[in-house]
Amino acid sequence: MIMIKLNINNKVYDLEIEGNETLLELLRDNLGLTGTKESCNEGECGACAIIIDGKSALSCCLLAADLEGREIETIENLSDGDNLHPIQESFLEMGAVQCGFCMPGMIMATKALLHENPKPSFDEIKKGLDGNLCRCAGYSKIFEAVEDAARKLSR
Amino acid sequence: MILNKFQFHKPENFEEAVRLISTLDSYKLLAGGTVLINRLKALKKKKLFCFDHVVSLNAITELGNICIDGDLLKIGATVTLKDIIDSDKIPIGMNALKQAADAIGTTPIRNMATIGGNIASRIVWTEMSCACVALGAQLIFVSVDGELKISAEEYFKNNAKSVGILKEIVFQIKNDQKSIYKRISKLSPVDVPLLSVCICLSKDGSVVNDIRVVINNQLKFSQRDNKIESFLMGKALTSELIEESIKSVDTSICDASMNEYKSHMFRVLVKQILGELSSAK
Repeated sequence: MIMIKLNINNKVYDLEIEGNETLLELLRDNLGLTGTKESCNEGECGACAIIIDGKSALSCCLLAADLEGREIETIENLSDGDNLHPIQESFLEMGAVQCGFCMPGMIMATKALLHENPKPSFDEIKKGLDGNLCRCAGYSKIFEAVEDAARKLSR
Repeated sequence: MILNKFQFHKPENFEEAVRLISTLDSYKLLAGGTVLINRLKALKKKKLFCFDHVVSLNAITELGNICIDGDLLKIGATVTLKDIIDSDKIPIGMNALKQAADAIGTTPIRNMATIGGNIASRIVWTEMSCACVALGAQLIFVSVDGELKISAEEYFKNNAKSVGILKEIVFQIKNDQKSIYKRISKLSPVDVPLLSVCICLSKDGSVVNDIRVVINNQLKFSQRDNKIESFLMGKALTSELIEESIKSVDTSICDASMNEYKSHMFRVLVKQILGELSSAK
C-alpha cells in the first residue's frame, strides 16, 4: 500500500492506495466520484476523461499513485449546487445529451479545450474532442453545444 | 482491480532510477502510460505473466525538458507529444517532429503520451520512430554501466532494444534542413498508421545535398530507403525528377508483404512530400 496526497477538485485527499490502482478505479470505487465513467477501459472512448493540470487526460490509463502534486478535476467540480457550469447548460440547451453516458467525458474535454482555446473554430472543436466517442452519434449537436459554450464563456 | 499487483516506485532523480532498475529482475518503466497501462490490462485479461515492478519516471524533472544546447536540440524522454507540438524551441526545419507528434492518437493521448514512450515501447509502427530516423536523432540511454549513445537508425535496425533508461533524444540543428512527415491510416484520427513516410533533406540551391527517406510499413520498424536516396542525391529537385524517383524506390521495403494499396500509397506519399519540400522556402 502507498500513502499519497491527491488534489482532486481542489480538495486534498490523504489516501492509502494500491500501486496498481488506476485513477478511474480510485475515483469511482474509492472516492465515490462516479461522474467519470468506465467504458472501453483502453483509452479510446474518452468516457473516463478528466482534466489534469488544465489538460484533458484519460483516467483509465493513469495510475493514481503517480499523480501526487498534480491538480485533478472531475465532472463533479463543474456545477455549484444547482447551478450548472455554462458548458453543462449549453449541452442541455443545444440538445447535445441523448443517453448521457459520454457526457462527463465530453464536457471535461470541452472545458479543457476552451481553457486552451477560448474561441475554437469548428475544426478545432472536432480535433479537441477527437478523444471522445458518442455511440448515440450526437456529434453535430455536441459541436454546436461547444460553440455555444465558447460564446457564453467569452462574454 | 483491472491491473495485476505490482510494486510501484517513483524515484526522485535520474541516478536513483538507474540504480533502482539495476536491482530489479522484472520491471517496466512508466512515463505517459498510454501504452504500458493498456499492456498491463491485456496481460491480466489473458492471465499472462505480469511485471513485478513499475518504475515511474514522472518525478524526474530533467527528463521533461526541451532545450537548445549550441547546435543541438535536446528533448527529454518524458516530454509529452503535446509539449513537442506547442514548443517554440523546435526549429522549423524539424517540423516533421511536430507533424508526427500531432498525428498520434487523440487530444488526451497526446497530452499524456511521451516521445520516449513512443520510441521505447517497441511497437513497430510508431510515428516518432519514423521522424527520428529521418532527422538523424541520437538516442541517449543510461544504465549503471554508463551512458550509451546510439543513432535512432541503428536502434530500430536492432529491433528497438533498450539498454537502461532512455534519457533524451538529441538532434543536430541544420539551418538549411527541411522535413515533412505524412501517414495513412484507416480511420482518422485514432487509428494506427498503415503507412508512414518521413523525408528530411537539405538543398544547395535546388540541388539535394543530403536526404533521408524513411518508411514505416507497419510490418517492420522504420527504415531508410537508400535506393531512392541515392537516386535523388546531387540532383536538382524538379517535378520531372520527382516523377522519375518513384521508379527508384526500394521495392523490398515498399512492396514486400504490403498490399497493393499500401504499395501505391507509399509512392503517392513520397511524391507528395518531395513536391512540398521542393517548393518550400
